[in-house]
Amino acid sequence: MTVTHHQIEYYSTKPKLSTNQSHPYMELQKFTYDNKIPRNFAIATIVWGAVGMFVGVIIAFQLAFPALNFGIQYTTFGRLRPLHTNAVIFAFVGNGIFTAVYYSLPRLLKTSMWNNTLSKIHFWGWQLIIVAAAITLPLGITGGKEYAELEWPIDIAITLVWVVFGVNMFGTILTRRERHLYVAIWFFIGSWVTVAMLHIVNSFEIPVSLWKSYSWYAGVQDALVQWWYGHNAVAFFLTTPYLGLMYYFLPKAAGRPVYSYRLSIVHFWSLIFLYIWAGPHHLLYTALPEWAQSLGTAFSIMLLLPSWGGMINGLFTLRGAWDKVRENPVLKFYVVAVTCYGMSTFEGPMLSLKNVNAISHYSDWTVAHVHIGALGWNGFLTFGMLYWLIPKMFNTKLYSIKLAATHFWIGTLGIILYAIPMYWAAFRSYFMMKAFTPSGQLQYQFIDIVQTVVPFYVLRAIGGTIYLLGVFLMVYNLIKTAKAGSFVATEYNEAPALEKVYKAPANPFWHSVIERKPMVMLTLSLIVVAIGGLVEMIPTFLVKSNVPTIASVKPYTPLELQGRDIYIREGCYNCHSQMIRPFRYEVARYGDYSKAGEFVYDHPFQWGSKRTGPDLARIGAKYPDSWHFNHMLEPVSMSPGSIMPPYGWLFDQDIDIASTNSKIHAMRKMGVPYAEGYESEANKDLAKQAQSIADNLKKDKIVISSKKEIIAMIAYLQRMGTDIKTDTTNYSK
Amino acid sequence: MQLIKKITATTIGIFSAVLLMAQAPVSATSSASIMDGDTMLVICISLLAIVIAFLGNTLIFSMNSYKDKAKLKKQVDTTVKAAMFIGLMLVSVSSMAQATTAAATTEPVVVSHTSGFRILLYTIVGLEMLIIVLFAQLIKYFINPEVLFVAKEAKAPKPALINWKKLWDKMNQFKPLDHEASIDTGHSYDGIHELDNITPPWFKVGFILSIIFAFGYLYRYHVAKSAPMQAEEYAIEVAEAKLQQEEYLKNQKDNVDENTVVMLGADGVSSGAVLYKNNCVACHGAQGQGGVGPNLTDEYWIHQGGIKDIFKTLKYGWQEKGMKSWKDDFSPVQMAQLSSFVKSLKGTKPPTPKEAQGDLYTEVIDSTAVKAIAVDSTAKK
Repeated sequence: MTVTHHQIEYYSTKPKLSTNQSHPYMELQKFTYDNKIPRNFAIATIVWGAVGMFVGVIIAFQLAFPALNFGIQYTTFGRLRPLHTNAVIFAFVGNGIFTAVYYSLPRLLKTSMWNNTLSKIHFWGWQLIIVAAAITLPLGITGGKEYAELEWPIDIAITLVWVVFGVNMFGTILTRRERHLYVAIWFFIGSWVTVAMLHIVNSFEIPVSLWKSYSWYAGVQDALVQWWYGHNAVAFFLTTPYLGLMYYFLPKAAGRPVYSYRLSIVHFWSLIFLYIWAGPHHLLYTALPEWAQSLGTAFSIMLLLPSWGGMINGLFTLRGAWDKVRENPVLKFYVVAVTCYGMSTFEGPMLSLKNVNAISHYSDWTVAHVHIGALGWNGFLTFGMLYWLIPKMFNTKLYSIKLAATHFWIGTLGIILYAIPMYWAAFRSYFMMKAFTPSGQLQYQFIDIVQTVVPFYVLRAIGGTIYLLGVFLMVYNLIKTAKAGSFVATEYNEAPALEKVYKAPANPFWHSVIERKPMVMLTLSLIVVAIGGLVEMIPTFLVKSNVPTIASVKPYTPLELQGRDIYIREGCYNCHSQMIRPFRYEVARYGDYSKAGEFVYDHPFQWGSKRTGPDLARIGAKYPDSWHFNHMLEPVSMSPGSIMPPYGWLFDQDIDIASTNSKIHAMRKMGVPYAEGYESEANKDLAKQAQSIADNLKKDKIVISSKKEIIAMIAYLQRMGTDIKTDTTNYSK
Repeated sequence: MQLIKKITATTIGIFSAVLLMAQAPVSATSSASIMDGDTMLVICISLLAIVIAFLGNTLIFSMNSYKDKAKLKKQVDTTVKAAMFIGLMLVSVSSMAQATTAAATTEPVVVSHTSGFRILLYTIVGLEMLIIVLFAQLIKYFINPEVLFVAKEAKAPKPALINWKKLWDKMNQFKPLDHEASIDTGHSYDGIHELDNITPPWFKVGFILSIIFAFGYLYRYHVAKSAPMQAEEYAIEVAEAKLQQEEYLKNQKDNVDENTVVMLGADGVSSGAVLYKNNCVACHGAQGQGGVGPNLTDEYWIHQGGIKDIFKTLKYGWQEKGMKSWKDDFSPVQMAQLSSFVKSLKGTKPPTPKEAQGDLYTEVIDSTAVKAIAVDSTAKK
């Protein structure tokens, strides 16, 4: 590759103006850069990326052809979709982050990584966590909260590995030979501390058994915490660390100086401060208190320019290097990545406007939006980094620039073909959803809408497949590159140590003070990111009026609770919401809009974020038990044209009654008002209710043991939303 | 590169074709009238789409002939290549625009009551006009590019009305590239330098505006309370819809309810049969023999078997017994048709009937039932 050549050319002609250069007479210390760990992370990035995207393609096709789970419970959409999201976020992007950190951090600080053993623990620990996720999620072991599905033992492992990462990172920072921290490191520090905070707060859960826990929070509060987490997982896992990555690899590959140091400062602090507030925009028009919703909207709007700060600084850094973009595939990937970042960070604030959100929420628009970010920003930035890094680490040239350029075009095409059908489907389904006949009836049944969007699901799956093909091209290209070169395991450098006593220049730029005090930067970042969450959460938890209680809302019966856990295990929330918004067309279709007080015993909440199937908040008592029985056994029998897969195993497996005791116990610990000692009664009640459902089914000539999981599932479904079901629709009783 | 471009163009072409086909399901289900203004716009859009189709074909033709010429000259400037690519993209975009038009023409009733739909139509018209202008320009370009080239070389560039580059430079207050050394911060991190460029002025202005907007938003909803909260918004929406609905029903002579419904004639029954087939078979069986729901062909009824009773059951449902209310799904006329069909099933004796449920029902002779059939069974939904 010619980049390094350009870069040397540029910098050799630069005057040495650096103010933080150490005195020339100081003794030079020798140290090494380890390439093994970043190489391993890079390989993990590629492997998990391919796996995660492949799972994505499978589930995309499943939406059009539900039979593609082959009748196996471990491969349904509901169980594989969390696997896909976890794999691409935490395995693909996660390893991408670590590749960037372990490669750039030592070089930016002129030191080795602090502790190689910690690096290894970090690497293998993280891969083990991913393997654990890949095993547990298809097994249905899940916490039931989006992007935080992993169960509590894995949550603890994540925390430990994250601490190892942090210790290693700060050890490196504190033993540095570069006085000031470069902007990429600000982003790494900010991301690290925020992710730690998000993960710990959102993962508060009470274990029931080794592989089952309940979220500590319930209903509205759980929703707020979850989307505070969910939104900022996007912010501090998919965005800020990748901005750090961009700030290192983009100027490196372009051989250009970063456009504006001041812009870096402005957009770094404003971005991390504002981002954290925006979570509630995922809950507009829900039962979340409206002041919190409005804060989400207002801060999302303010977030637009700080986000664009990163795009501007990236694109303007290429000023004077656009001729290189034409030849250099690395820069091509970066340009599209940064542009996609700009597009989705424009779209994001627009989507948090109430009237736009009314259209986009629960629809495929959101799916398109996140994939512009994921495929464009994260994907392309990662690919660009790998195309630059692998040849460098193997001391050779990229095997084929042409192939990389082809990958670029195929990838871009894949993104376009992915996004367009999703946008299209979203608008079509929205217009169909809200269509009323002049005499006031819904014009379309939900199934009509499903049928309309299925062709778009096929197109989207094709777009995704094309994108994945591009990834395979990259894998081939990089393997060829690695084979052609020889791996440079260690690089050597030398620099003087930092002087013990630093004499700052007379009038230092205010921010440079923070840049040379990493602990101050860490503390400030934590304070800045903590504010938003505290302001939104504390009142929602403490002020009663935010979640008005409803007397008729009672805890779930033991059987319903077991049914709910099956609902969570099967990942029903991936396609079905439980939150009816106050719109005429939703109330007409699903029933009265949801109230905050209805969810006080929901640990975790199951509001969902996407309606591939209809809302279920008031499914209870809408159909007979036998309808649900037939529907779960063969959905198309009751709902012709349905794309829901059959759930045959619910009819074979027994309810896990051994767990009832500890489940009730855990729930009471969290304040659900089961009577003291109810644990011992619970299974009796469970059996009684199960028998009554089985008897009821018998009336419709369906014979099934009352011990089967389907019975619990029916109990839960029939309960949903009935606590405050008003009987205004029934003209008499 | 050429190959990739071809693949890209072909894929986009195929893709838009499939998108077009994807429209089919809806056009089959929707059928209704449209508002006058919208009709005009839709016609306008269709006409413009035809023009675009013509221009598109001409453009492809001119591009092909240009390609041939270029082959002879064996010299294709990269800008021309780019222009051709854009041309191809536009052609595919135009087919998508036509698809949109198709969508608009086939499902007007879906959105006829939203002002947003009108805006959408205007947007489409605007886009189509833009495409027409662009196509015309491109055709001009491809038909006689040599002339353009000569003109470009000979004449000095005309001073444009707005110098975009200059404006852009000014908006960002760009420093010339050769002045970079003077704004180098002196930082060097692993060889990465940082410049001390100012934050682009438009960025600052935009940021301040967004902050003002955000606080204005909070003020409006939570201090001034001049915008409706979501429950109020819902109440307004429902009230408006109710008014519209009543207005509509007032002018409909075929409006029926559970007190006025009567058994319909053969037309009504056959309309009801269609509705039954599409909505009721899952629970009540293809021949009304019952399944999840009760048998509709016998003499036994859980909630009485008169035409008015059946209408009531349809309209309000029996929630606790698993019969949902259909009043949000079917119009009164449709419910009358369906009730009549259900009533007509009595005594049909399907092969595998569900056992009787409820009480034996004997018809109450209703004086209104003798009245002439008041409902026009051919009326639309």
